[in-house]
Amino acid sequence: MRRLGSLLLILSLALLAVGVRPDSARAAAVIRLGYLDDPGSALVLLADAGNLFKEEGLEVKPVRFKDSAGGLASLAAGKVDVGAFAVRETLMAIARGDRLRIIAGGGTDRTGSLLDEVDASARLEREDRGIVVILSDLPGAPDKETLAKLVSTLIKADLLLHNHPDRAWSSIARHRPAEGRNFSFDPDPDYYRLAGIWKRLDLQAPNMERSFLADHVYDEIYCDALHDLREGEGEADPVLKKLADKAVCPPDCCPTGKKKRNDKGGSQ
Amino acid sequence: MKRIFALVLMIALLAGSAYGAALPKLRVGYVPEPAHGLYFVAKEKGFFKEEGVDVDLYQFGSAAEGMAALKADKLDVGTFGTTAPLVFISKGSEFTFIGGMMIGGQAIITRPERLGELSGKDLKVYKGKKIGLVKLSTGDVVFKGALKKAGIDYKKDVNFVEFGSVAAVVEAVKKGAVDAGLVFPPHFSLAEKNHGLKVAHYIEEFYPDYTCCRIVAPTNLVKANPDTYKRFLAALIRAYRFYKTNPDETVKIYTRALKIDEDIIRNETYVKRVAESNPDPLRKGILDFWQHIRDAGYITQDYPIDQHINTALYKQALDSVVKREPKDKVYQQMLTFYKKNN
Repeated sequence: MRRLGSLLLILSLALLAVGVRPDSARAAAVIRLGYLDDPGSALVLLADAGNLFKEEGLEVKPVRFKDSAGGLASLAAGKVDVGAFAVRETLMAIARGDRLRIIAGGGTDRTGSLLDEVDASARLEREDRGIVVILSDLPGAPDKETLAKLVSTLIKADLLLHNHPDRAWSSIARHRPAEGRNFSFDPDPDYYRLAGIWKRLDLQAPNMERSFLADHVYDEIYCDALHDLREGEGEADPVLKKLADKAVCPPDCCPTGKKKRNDKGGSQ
Repeated sequence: MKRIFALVLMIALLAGSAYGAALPKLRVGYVPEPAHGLYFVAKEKGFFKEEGVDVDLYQFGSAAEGMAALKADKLDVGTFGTTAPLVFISKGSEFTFIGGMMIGGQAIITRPERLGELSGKDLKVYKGKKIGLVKLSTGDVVFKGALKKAGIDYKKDVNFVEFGSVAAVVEAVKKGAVDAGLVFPPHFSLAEKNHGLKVAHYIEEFYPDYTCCRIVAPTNLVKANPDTYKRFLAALIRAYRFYKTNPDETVKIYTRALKIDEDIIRNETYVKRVAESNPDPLRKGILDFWQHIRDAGYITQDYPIDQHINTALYKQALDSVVKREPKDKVYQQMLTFYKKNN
């Protein structure tokens, strides 16, 4: 009897160890987030400096990169989990076959000048340098729930930046755009804008499926995050409303129409 | 005698299992919506098996979730609104519309004291009004289409307020934050029953036979197995006939499948007839819907959607059913309807 008791105790401890440790480890997993010293990275920097990631239960470790090429190489190698890098180089890496997925937008320099009137290429160049947030889509990548929290945090950072710009910029003063620069910030990955750049850069190879780019843009995460944030709103925040007005998200439906982030494929 | 009986039983069992094993399987996704009930009828009455296809039904909580499952090869076919498949196709997904499931069904609700002001047969009553809606829902798209057809510049003359969910639209109407709200079934019935709100109009009054909720399947599977999809559609055509001729049993089947109040289902399906469950692909309706989405400015890039509509399979399925029962009035009406809308 005593033997049976000992056996049960050992078994319980083993089950406890097996059952609990991986979950705790997963919950505490640190997200390594690559970024550039660029005003376009403001949403991720603000989310970190303003403790927004922590409020969402995420532990994020920012990793600074000198340029997008280095950051994207680290993402492709799985050395960082998420990164905020230039859209042009990101799309080129995706076209090359790197396992990356764009999960959110960032900041783009929209500073208008007389030059834009005569030379559209200057405007397009700034557009190409705009920041997008990318996931390293390798085995062990953050799960959908974590990504939804991450994107939700970036939307909150955007609300903070638009509703309380002085407070927001004071926490990341070093990255504030110089006087006269006009950056626009938008957490929407905006597939259709990306598709326009993709087309302009002529990145669609003949052997690629028509959905190649769409398969590398995770906009349903953004739609879910936006939907959840709006559901929690009493009177919609005007900035949140503007984001929802712009997003192209298929609507919910039906009496049980609560979205579930899972891959189970419905219920029989 | 016993031996003969055993032999007959064995042959029957073998034949039965061979018959079951030979049937091609289809994983079918749907969202819980009364007018999607042809699936439940075809399944429960055995039409799928009789037509030679083995169907498993999978319920989804949202159109986007269902489309993602379709894209991830977890489904072979599904019904997830009209907007969601069009958005996926415009982003490069290779899906084909092969049929339909629901026509009409959208309503405009208001508070009882506003009903008089919004009644009548002219859409002009909505000029200057604040209308709550869920962006890109069928109601949103077709109501704007109806306003445009009526010559009303809705971008200038109507104030639309977007909400994240249909529940939020109902709440806004209830509170008086908007003058009226665009909602889909069974939410207007629930709003009438639970909150005392009233239906001012069904959009069908201004825009007959508009499309909602199409049947889509991955293009490669449709091309590889046209006969399976044809059989699937033939079963739905027979389910449509059943729904038109057996209201009481149909209501019971829908109620069992959806677990919604039986009175609401009967009322929407057979009394007010707010929507019709109809498997016709409604090609012209899909093209109109796409144009309305573009007119509203939701998607600026055009795409040749017509390449993703296959009406031939439905026509073949309908012909095969008509051939068996050439004098049946319902099937004859379906033929006429097909010719008009495709």
